[in-house]
Amino acid sequence: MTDRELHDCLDGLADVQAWARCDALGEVIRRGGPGDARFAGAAPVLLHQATEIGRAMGLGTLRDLELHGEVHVMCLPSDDGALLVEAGSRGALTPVTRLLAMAA
Amino acid sequence: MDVGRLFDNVTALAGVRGAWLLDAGSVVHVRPAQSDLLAGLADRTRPHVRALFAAADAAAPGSDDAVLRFEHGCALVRRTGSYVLVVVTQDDSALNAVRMVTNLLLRNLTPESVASLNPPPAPPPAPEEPADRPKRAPRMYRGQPY
Repeated sequence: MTDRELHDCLDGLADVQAWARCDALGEVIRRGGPGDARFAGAAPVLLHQATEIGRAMGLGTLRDLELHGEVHVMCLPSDDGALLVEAGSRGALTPVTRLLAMAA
Repeated sequence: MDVGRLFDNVTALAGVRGAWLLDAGSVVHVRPAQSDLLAGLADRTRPHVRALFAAADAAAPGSDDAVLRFEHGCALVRRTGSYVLVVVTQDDSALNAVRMVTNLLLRNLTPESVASLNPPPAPPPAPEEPADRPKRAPRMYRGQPY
């Protein structure tokens, strides 16, 4: 699956409020969805801290990070930064996981 | 409600490797309690857990639940008030069950219930009485004991 196809699929998912592809500094390279990707700037720190937690626990590399609260966020590390998806419900992130597994 | 039993319910779930509780950044309880390895992990990950929530709060306050998926396991990190509960699992298949059980645990966390998790250490044993010495014959002075 190309990046473009992935982005089209993300745009088509129900209840996805925003998605963003960020570089290693949290700068948004590409974005989509009706809302703002509020967590885009925090992505490098979130991924770094999660990676350190995994390293300290000996659990290997980080696959993804989900944050739940007022907003439901999934953050995936990539070679050049991160992909972030913000949804309105926890369940809305499930197809995102499947989609990204297909894209990987 | 006995928070210790609720903690046991969490660690008894299939796939759960261990759990610990942080309060204001310091480790207050670890289950299994006798695990020095887990206590070390809890201490090493403590600053990163704090920084993770700080970064999340900076973006949008209100994220109290984090799922971290790794190559060899998962960590569910949940926050309520000043308490942060970390549960380490083998994979993400047990996460729904862990979330349900930890809901009850998190609802019952109060300063009093957390204090009851770590009973004060038992007082040191009293020094042993010296063994009875064999009785010696009284000292005598001019035919009289003195």
